[in-house]
Amino acid sequence: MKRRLEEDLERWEAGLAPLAELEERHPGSDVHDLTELHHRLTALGLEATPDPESGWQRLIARLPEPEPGTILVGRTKPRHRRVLTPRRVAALGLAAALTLTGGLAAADVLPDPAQDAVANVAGHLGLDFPHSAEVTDQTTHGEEVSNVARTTPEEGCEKGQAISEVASSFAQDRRNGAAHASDSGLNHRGSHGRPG
Amino acid sequence: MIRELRELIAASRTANISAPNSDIQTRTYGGEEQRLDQVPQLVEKAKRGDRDAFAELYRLHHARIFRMARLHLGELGDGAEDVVAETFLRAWAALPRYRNTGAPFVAWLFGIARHVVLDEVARGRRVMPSEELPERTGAWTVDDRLTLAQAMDRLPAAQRQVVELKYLAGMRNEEVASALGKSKGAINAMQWRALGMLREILEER
Repeated sequence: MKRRLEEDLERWEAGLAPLAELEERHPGSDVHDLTELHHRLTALGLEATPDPESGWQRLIARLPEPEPGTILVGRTKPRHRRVLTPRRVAALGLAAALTLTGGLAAADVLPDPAQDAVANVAGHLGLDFPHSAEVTDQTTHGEEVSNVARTTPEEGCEKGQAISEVASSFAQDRRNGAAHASDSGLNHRGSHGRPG
Repeated sequence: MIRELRELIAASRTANISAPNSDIQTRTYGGEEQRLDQVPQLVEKAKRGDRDAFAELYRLHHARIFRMARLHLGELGDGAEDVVAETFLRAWAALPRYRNTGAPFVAWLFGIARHVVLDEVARGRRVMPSEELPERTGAWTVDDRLTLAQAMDRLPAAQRQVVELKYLAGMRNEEVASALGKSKGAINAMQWRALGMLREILEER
């Protein structure tokens, strides 16, 4: 259908153009049949229907009770902003401090007393943070192994064996220390290998 | 078919219902216009479980859903009334999920009614048109309705929606445009293209 015809039919429908004008402007385009069909459909929408009351009386008996949990009509209470009370500020500060301290302790960058204190507390909580002495031990032990590697006069297999013996001696010492602590009832996680 | 249409139109004019659409819409809404303005508030109350509000929605929309059902089922008995009841039962259950998008509430009801009608047709509730031409009295006969409904079923879905919402639900083109998310101009074009296709389909019969 041509756009011009559709527009003219719209004008006719709005009562702005008589049918004769459309038939004159669009000869042979079934204007008359289209307008008749429009009238007929309009008449269909105006037909009488039964009284709704009888239908409602039958329907209301079948309506289930609304489910309380599913009927949600937006917010029932205005949403308030969360207020920062002193107690909340303190709790937030403590949580932030613990998080920061724990992170520093895990990275072995705290001063020795602080590192030991955190490691002890963490050990009671089941976390494995190193003590300050362990850090010192590990550093010293690394230097020893490095010295052996640089200074031993042995070559080849023998040199490797010498380095290996020095390197593994630290682990052996730690195991011995752990066994001793266990015998003394002090084997908390995080406190093993702690020099007596 | 066209000859029959002309006879029917002549009878309609006698009944003084062939005025331009502006008059017809006034007639369609008539005294209900003020009550239709309250539909959004009624819907909100019904969503909270207010049966009185839902009853008012039923009264306001019963005729439109009934005509749509009667067109598609062709029955004069309880079939169309059953469709209305089932439509409102489903609407009551679905109301908590209803969101007002700005489209008329009747468009939402028609969407439900369409599914109910399809279920009824699948169950064999639609009466088939008779082979003999019915006696013309100026009113729509069962066969007229079924013939038209079958022709409408062959329209593209968007055009069929426009015809249903405009002629059966009594919505203005602006309201149909809002319901379908299109411009008023697009709805006007779809309306007349749909009528052109309907005329061709009916002439084939």
